[in-house]
Amino acid sequence: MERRLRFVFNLFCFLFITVILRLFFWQVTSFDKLKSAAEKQTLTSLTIAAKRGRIFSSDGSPLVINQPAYLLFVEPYKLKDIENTSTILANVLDIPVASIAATLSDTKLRWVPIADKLDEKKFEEIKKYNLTGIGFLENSKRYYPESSMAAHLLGFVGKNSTGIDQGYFGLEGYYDEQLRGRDGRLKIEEDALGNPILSGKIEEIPAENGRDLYLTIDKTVQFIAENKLKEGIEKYGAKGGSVVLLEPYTGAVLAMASFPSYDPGVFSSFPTEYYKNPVIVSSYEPGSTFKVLVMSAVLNEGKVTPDVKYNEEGPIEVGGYIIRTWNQKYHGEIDLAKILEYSSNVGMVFVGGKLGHAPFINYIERLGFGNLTEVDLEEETSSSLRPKNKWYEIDYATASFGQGIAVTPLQMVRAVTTIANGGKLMRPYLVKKIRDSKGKEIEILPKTEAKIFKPETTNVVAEMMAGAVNNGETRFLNPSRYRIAGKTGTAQIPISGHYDTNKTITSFVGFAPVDAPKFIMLVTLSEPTASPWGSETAAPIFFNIAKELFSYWGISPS
Amino acid sequence: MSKINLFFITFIIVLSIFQVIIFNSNSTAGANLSKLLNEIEAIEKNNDIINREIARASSIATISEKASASGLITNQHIVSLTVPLPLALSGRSSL
Repeated sequence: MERRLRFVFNLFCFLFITVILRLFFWQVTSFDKLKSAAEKQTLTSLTIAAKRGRIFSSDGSPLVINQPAYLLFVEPYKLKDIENTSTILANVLDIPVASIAATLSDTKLRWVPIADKLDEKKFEEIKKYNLTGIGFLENSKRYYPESSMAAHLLGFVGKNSTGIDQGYFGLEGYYDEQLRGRDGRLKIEEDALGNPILSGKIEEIPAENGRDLYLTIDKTVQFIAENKLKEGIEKYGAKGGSVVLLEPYTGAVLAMASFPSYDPGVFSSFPTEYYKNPVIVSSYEPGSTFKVLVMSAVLNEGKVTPDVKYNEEGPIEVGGYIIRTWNQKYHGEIDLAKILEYSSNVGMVFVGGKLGHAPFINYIERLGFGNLTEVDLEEETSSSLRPKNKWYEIDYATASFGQGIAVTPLQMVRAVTTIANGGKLMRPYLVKKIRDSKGKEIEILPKTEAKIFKPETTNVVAEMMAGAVNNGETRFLNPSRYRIAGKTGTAQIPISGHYDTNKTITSFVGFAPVDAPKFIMLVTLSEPTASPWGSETAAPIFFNIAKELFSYWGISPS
Repeated sequence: MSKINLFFITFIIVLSIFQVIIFNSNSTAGANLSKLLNEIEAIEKNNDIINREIARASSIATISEKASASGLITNQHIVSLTVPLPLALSGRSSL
């Protein structure tokens, strides 16, 4: 009897210990696993998508906003009529039927995305068919109220390698981190019908929407610049062209336009080479527009005075090469102002010679050539300057009139800005204010990079440039009684070690009004066919834009 | 049983009843909350669509197009109300 009792006692003890151990296993060892399994059954975890920041022009008008969009997905195993569904989707989405049918026929697939970023119209159109096995996930996409305006500046939003929205090129690329924001998460207990249980567990990490960018771009100025440039490119049969306008005293970019361009809303329909912004990527030889900088340098160094005379009597020989004037005309004894007015290459060789080799390179470097301007756009590039020990006599001579040196349009206009604003090299910038979702604002202030020229020097060169406009090749284009300082440029295109005599890049750089410049503008045209000269192609575009700007800003004649 | 114990027992019972009542009322509030959240989402979506339409209607491209269609043209001449200085006083030879 005692033995049987002991057996029962031991059995109970064993069962008790087993239960305790099992409970220990469930409640301690497997606690996290079971808790997570239980939460999976009752808790729903949702991602709260952050809204991408918007982009506004200087007057607060939207340039890029968000609009509702949808991801269309299919669950092939739920489909009832594959043929009909394929035909309907192919018609609405403008995709070949065979391509969709192949995807829908693969019943091994549980969930397949068919099209992303569908707009409201297509969403409604597909929805009305009430197809089984078809579903939508709501997201958003970019909307550009001004269509393709300022496309190179804005960039676009595409998908990265992990399928997440990412900004590419321009501002979208440069400020991607700021614009993107941070997605939030919501964990909520739900009942069988999917309604939240208020007394249950709710965990929320709120989404932080992307920051809004407020630009220095004036949309009216941008509109004028783009229209006039487009007209000019068509009129002069050019391959392409660019216009960039800066505010001389701050370096703020007022407009930046280039053609050929693209529509950021449907960027994938355009060749990828159109995505790059020529103003900050394409290097060209500035030609005669560079003369104003060399002239400023020599006057700033006090190596010559404005009234010094040069005898322009014919071609000159430098390092075994013959240098001529652009039109083969020689004017005898001329002063520095006339050298600019006649755009004399031989005169500039004389001026460059007076400056000296070391100061010449020093000024080029200090004016920012060979380095990035650090404008707040993603893809900026810069040609390197030739190493100092590779500069020969002929290189100094040709560089004095803008050949043999490569610059981007933005580098060029920024350098000439020093003449317009009393000698300061400004950092060009496009975003003047960043505002976060809570309304906190970060102001971005103008930045002076260096002081290059004395105001006395820039005043003299500005007057020389005004003289070049009034008395030079562009005198018939200048609106009467307006004081505009400017300089034409025509550069041949170097191909395989020599210059192509038929292809040129023409340009005009100038600012107005001379005494208190409101804007500085550079117009470049690539390979115009109507005329190879800057005075007959780029200059008219410059003056057409300038005239509209005078009216727009209410600038009175001097 | 002391009065204090009686008080605590009654208090616990009352709280338990309240809990049941509140939980009961909350059990249907989830559906209401869900409905409200859906409404907010729909309003936000409509707001985005309206913002888009306003932006499109007020864009400079649209305004310019409508102005051209209405027959408005850009003034090609600059009209100034200021009187130019006589040449002798302007001090500039370029005028």
